Amino acid sequence: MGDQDDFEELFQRHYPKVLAYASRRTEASRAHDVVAQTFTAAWLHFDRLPPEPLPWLYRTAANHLANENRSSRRQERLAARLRGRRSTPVPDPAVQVVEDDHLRAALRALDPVGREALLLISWEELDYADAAAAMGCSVATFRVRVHRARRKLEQLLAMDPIGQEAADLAVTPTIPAHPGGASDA
Amino acid sequence: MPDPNVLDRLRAANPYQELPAPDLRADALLHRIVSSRRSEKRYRPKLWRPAVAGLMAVALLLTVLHISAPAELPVIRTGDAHTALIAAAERAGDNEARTEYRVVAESSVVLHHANAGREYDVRLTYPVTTQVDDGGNHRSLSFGTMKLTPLTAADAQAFQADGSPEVDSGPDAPASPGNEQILPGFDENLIFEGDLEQMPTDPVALREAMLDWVADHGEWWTHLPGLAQRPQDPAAWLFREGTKILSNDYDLEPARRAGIYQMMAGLPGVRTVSGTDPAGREAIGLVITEKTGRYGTMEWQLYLNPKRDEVLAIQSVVKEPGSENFYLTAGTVYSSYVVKELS
Repeated sequence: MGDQDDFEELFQRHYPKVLAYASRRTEASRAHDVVAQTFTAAWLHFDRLPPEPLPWLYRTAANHLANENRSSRRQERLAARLRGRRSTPVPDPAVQVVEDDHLRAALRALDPVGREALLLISWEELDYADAAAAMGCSVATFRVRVHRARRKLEQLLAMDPIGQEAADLAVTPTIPAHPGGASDA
Repeated sequence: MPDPNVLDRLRAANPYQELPAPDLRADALLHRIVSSRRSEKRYRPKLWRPAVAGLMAVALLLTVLHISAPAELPVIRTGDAHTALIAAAERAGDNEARTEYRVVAESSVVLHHANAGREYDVRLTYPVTTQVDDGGNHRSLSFGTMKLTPLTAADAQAFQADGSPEVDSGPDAPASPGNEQILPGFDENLIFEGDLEQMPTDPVALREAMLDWVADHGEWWTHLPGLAQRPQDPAAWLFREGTKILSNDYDLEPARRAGIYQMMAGLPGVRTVSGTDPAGREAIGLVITEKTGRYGTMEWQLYLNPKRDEVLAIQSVVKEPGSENFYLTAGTVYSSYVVKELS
């Protein structure tokens, strides 16, 4: 029963945080599904979790969110084909929950990796080491991601507000559509 | 004007405050999770223990019979490229460890832009400075002004008709590349970011460790336990990732840098090319060709200083365009990183 007691303690401690993480990135019903999938994965892999599991939990939740987003897009494309027309872009659900229109449009215009870096430190209030662990990269790489995303967000927010129609149609791909690779710098 | 409080604004926009404690729904979920697992725990080990024992017996038998499976990636021990990289490893190994340095380079990548019925290609060029100081404890990376240059006369005409926009100057302007495109690669998201100090020093073990690492961590948003990925072309991936390490991480222990060169020396498919880099400097040129998915067939080029452990330039050149870069012709330099100064 030792594993179970430890897991229950972990669950009680981190459930509110993981639910908040998912709820900040998708609608309520899907957020609960993501939380369930995340803790199920944590239980299945409990003996391999790191001593501080929160970054792992966030990372796993991010993966489940990404999978659900991909699934939604596939369903939309299939439905559009059945209707005999081209699919309309599915808005990225990751930041639909933000009320500030201008900020929401700017966040959508960021690439997903940079956006996630900013959200981990501002909404989840992680320090750089934990946020880097949540994204599976080194702290140095994480710093670069934050630096570039922050600069880009500043530029976007300094521009005239992006029209709501354009923002609603903006699709940020789950996987960036560019070749990329950076070593630590 | 830049918003100095962009992170404050982001914090204020936080759309959800966490619950003070798990609720009834959480209790139900917890009960469901731990209940389902208990039965698996009781039975599963009994099922796979005999299988593990069987595998061990087969492995033992193979060892006794001196039979081993062929290596997935052959180890190259001869040829011009091998010799050049082993010589580079010796130069690196002879160095003193660097804890403070500065690399000033110019990076470029081709962007394809479509707006209001116009399509054109522009080369985005920008300075990149990497600074490592404070005994290696402080690293910074800064980017200079980004500049767009049309590739051809037709591109220039369309670019001008589009108002000659600056990069990121508006929603209809060409956008700067994403976070990862400091040094471009072709495996979109399979990026090595492991701790080299923890990696094996043996070159063949090192490459396996790098491949294992990326299988576990390389693509964070699709990584799920048990869904490991390896690059489609492991040799090209190792060559590119090795190149990135060598061009950035001069503060690695000399033996570690030498190990990266040695690892690359053993890769199949690496060739030598003519002796000048894109800036016209004397260089040892090494290339590998990669059949990528969306980027067609690309050639990855690395130019080394023949006298010192220094990367002079990295380029990727289109050999046969793919779906993502269909607009480029064979021979076009798709991306480049040319070092101007290393001090």
